[in-house]
Amino acid sequence: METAKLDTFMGYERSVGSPGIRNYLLVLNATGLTDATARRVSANLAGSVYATTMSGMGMLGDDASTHLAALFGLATNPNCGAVLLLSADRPKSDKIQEVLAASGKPFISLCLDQVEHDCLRMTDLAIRAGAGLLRSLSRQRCEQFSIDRLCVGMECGLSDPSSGMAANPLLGRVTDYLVDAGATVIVGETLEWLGTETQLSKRGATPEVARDIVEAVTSLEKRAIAAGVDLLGINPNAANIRGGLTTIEEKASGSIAKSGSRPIRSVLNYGRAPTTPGIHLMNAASYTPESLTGFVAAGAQMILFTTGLGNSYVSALAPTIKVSANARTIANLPEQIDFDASAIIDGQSPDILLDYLLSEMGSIAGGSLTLGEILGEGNENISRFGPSL
Amino acid sequence: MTTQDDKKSALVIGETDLVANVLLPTRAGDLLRVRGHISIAGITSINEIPLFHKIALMPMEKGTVVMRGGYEIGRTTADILAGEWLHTHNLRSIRAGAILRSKK
Repeated sequence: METAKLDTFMGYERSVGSPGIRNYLLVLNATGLTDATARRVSANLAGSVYATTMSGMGMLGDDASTHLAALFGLATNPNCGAVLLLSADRPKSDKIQEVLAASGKPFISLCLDQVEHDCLRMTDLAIRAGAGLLRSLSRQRCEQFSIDRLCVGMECGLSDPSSGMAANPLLGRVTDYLVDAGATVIVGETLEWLGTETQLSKRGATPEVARDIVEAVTSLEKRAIAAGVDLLGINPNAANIRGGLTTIEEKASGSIAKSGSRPIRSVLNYGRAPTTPGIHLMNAASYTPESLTGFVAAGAQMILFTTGLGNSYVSALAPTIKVSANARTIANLPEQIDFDASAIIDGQSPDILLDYLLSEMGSIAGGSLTLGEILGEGNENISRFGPSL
Repeated sequence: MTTQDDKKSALVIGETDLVANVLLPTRAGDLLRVRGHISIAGITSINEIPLFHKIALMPMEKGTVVMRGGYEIGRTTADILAGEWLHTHNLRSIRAGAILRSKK
């Protein structure tokens, strides 16, 4: 029997790093003051995607360095072939430009001080600059790349029993397939490791990774306790228990099933790129808008996202394939669920569903649109790790 | 094609699992087909089991560590029969228990 395995994908070559599966112009806004202008600019440039931060001045320590690293990561994500960088802060803009120059990616930067702080002049100049970048981008054609050049982020949101029983284990199979083929996979949501961290740590490729896994969970638990929240006391919650989840281990294992079974290569800090292929955990917030941006800043070209009850949020930069195994949700949200995994609940072999999903991933990489792309649900939102001055 | 009768089954998601999730609300005496990573022709449910809740695939002594999806999900707090409903009344977290003990 012929199976639709995913050995190669169509992508856009980049002068440095992995190929993109899209050839977007990224309109990247680096300061709150220029957000409205940059949004207006992106809205006037078909073929552009938009990413922004409203934070800027007064950030400190790890918060400031992580934020800047995440902006670097968004600027260099392979799915963006060129960048239009808008900012009110020249030193910050200069740092991002240095990273862009090193990436070999075409970019144009505009700072408010270049236009005498006139946001309308900035709008005008930026639209003209972006049009030029888009014209050049549109001349590039797809080429075939080996699957080991792919980095995929795995996420779940608004989960229900179908997520832990079928959709997340299916993503785990995709993870194992990709890892065995030499590709890279990132799973985040530290909160969801709670309860399985000791077992998960046994998959650490080195003792240091094992220690990092336990430490990430312990430190999160301590932060929660300091804020008066007993995570183990409130998980699983009453709805989880009614749905059949008995223990925190069971709840966590249903989520962490996305990570498959292969050795865990590292625990990444938020938005930081893996340095080796394989499965990596990202120590990051579980909240989807922050989590997905962490993956994209780390270089993910694609996201697989399971949902039980439905969740329309997608990344702006990385095509996000919505997977559900809840037949009712799929029937209710036909324009929001990209992949129907409910056959697993009906007793269909997960191996067959794995082949279907790999085939869908190949199709999306090659240019088929996700429903999230069509509906324009995409967004990016960088986590904060401390208050501003 | 799956019929309603085919759906009267339970799904196993890991090779070393001791439990399966029922795919339809189950009555005592129902014969379920077990699918997924382990195939068992039939297991008879001892209790009424709500949709997606767990059924024990084999007898377990009190204190047995229960595997599901390749992970330890807890320890039994009573002797368990094959076909018995496993939930908060007879299965408890190891992790949460450990924390409670350390707080004393």
